[in-house]
Amino acid sequence: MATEVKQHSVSPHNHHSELSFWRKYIFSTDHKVIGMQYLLTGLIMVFVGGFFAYVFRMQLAFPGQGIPLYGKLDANAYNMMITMHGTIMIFWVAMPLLVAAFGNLLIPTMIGADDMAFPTLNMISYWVFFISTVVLILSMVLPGPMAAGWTAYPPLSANGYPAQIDFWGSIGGSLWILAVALEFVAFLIGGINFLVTTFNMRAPGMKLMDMPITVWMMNIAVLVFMFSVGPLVAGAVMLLFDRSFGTGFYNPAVGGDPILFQHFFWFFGHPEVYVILLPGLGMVAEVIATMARKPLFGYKAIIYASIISGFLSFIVWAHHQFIAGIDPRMAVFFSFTTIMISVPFAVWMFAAIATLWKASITLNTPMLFALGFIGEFLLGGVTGIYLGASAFDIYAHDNYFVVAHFHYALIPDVFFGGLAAIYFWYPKFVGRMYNETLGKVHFWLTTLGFNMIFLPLFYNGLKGEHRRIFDYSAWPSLMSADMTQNRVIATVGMLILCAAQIPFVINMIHSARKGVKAERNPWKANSLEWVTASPPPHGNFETYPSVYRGPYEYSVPGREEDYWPQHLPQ
Amino acid sequence: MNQTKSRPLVSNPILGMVFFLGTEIMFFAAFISAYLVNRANAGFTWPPPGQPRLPIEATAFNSLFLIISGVTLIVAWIAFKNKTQIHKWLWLTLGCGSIFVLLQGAEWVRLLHFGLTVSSSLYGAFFYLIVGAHALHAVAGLLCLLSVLRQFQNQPNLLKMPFAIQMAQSFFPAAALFWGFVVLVWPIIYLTVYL
Ligand SMILES: [Cu+2]
Repeated sequence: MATEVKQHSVSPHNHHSELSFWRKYIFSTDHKVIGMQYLLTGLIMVFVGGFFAYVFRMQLAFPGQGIPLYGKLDANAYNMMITMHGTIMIFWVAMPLLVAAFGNLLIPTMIGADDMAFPTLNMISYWVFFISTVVLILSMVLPGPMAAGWTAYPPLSANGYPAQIDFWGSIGGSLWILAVALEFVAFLIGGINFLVTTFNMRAPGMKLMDMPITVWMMNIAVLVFMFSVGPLVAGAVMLLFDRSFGTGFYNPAVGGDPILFQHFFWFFGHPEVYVILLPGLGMVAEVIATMARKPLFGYKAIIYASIISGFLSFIVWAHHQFIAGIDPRMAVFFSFTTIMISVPFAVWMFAAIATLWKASITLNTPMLFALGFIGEFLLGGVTGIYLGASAFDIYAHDNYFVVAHFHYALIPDVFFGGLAAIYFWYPKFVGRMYNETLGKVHFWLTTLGFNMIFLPLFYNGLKGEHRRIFDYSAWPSLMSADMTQNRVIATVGMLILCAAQIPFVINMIHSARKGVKAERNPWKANSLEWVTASPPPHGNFETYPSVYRGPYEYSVPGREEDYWPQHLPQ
Repeated sequence: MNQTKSRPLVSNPILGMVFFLGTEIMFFAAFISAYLVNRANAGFTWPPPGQPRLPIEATAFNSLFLIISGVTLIVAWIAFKNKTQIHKWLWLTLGCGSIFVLLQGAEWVRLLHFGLTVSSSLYGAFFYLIVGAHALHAVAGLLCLLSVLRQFQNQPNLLKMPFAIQMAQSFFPAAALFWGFVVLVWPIIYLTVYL
């Protein structure tokens, strides 16, 4: 650690100037390259996770028929695919995209630092993540892949505790656990870097309450992650022992407790929702304030509310276990905290709408995605309040109402929020403008496809469609005409959502080569990343800025321009 | 670069280590609470009949070496602050820590011989899980202390630099924090798992 500190404080950046291709683009310690590596890996993995969704949605709509590009699906492969879809979308898409990629790109540039506090550790973080990705892919192709859902509850995830442990026959599932653990190591290293960088490397004059909301949100998210991940790693180690050495920590036959794993999993799993959500909220708020040309309403209130929701997220986990046989009095407590935790989010929602109130809004692609986030997430949040009440949850548990609910929470956050961020900062970090028309086509098709998938599933869920069934034709009560029709509508929506990504891919690749060169500050925004060249040079700034005001001084009365960058003296 | 910036309140390596230890505390808390829940569930059949009992006295004797290593570490910290000879105290810490790990290893071999294994009972499983996790941390801590010694060997001037630069550039403060954690978490494990 100390060597890195020395390099940075003693010698300036000229020693980086003649780096080989490998040191510059592959084993780079530059936070911008590492951020891009995380971003590209996440974007590649979204297609792997999306392909699985395509296969099992086709199976659900047209059971037992050959699926184009795949063939006939059997029940074991189906279970493996829903497991991997969840694992990939949460841990290999949402986390690298929202937290690792944008945290790396934005934190140093927004606080006016030359790089992260520990650049070498930062590089190690990405390469550990890369290895974890390789291990995850190996785990799918080797014998005995994990097929117990992304939550991996024992005894199913421990293969039902067979009398004789078949180590090589179940190697896939063990590697899955290893991959998830490695991934956490990567984000742990990255998270320490985020926190230390934010605490110690801010530009002169930048107080904590002068930081852009994104920097705040990233750091709260990382803190929540670091304090919740330990128990999950502990639980995963115990599961791995059960699978490999026959310890039986979760095996009731020898006195173990399978519910214990659920506690470990959700003690991490619910805070994880906030780890993913908070960076999205931060970046969307950034886009909204800039495109509405108004100060972000209630900046401090948002920060305090987010800190409170970070704390609360540690005492809601058992709402995932209402039917696991927990004490009903405990269920009442967890219902109460669960409904409480929607209050901080309501604060954010109110602030976002108040910022938009009577504003002159620029409706470009990032703003469309940001507004889409507000509208769509509302549905996910409101259905969450229903599910938080244990009485309703007992009925809705494990049916498609739950599936639709959390997709309405996660897709607005990861897709709409993430895409708003990608379009918004594309000019800054690629150096060229994206194509606005293709961007808008991308937005409208994505919105159409997404709602077409999940709105019908709310309905089917309430009619009792259980989520763990591979072929509904064996269940006449679930094969009514309206439910079958809804399944087909959802699958068509999924195909539209897949097709909607074609203009996105074309836009990203084509604009990176042929797009109009971006100026330093195309959106006329205030925060420090817009001060420097697009893309920022190594070391980020030609001259290091000082900070004189907060990041949201838009349309200040008496000023000629409608923005007031943080680095300009009075 | 950034010269105008005031010196941070807490240097980077220490701050990073403090956050890391937060994660570590949660990790061990999870193991220990899992253990306590299982033990409470088992009621009067804990420890299970027919399984060897854990060596309370022998382990107490081993623990003495770990505690001494903690004391010598504090002395090393004072020497580091006063820029006086730190090496011998670091070597003492390293020596006592290694003796602890080796004696514990010998104890494990004996217990395995008596029939306490990871799959013989949950009692054994939890014992090896928690004490093993601590042992891994102890070995990692010893390696950190070794790298501190190597750093002082390679940069003998480091000890004479101003304190703030020492704090920012030496491995010592972060390694010392980590070893302090290894020493302090042990009594909790001893009290819950052995007694
Ligand atoms: Cu939850």
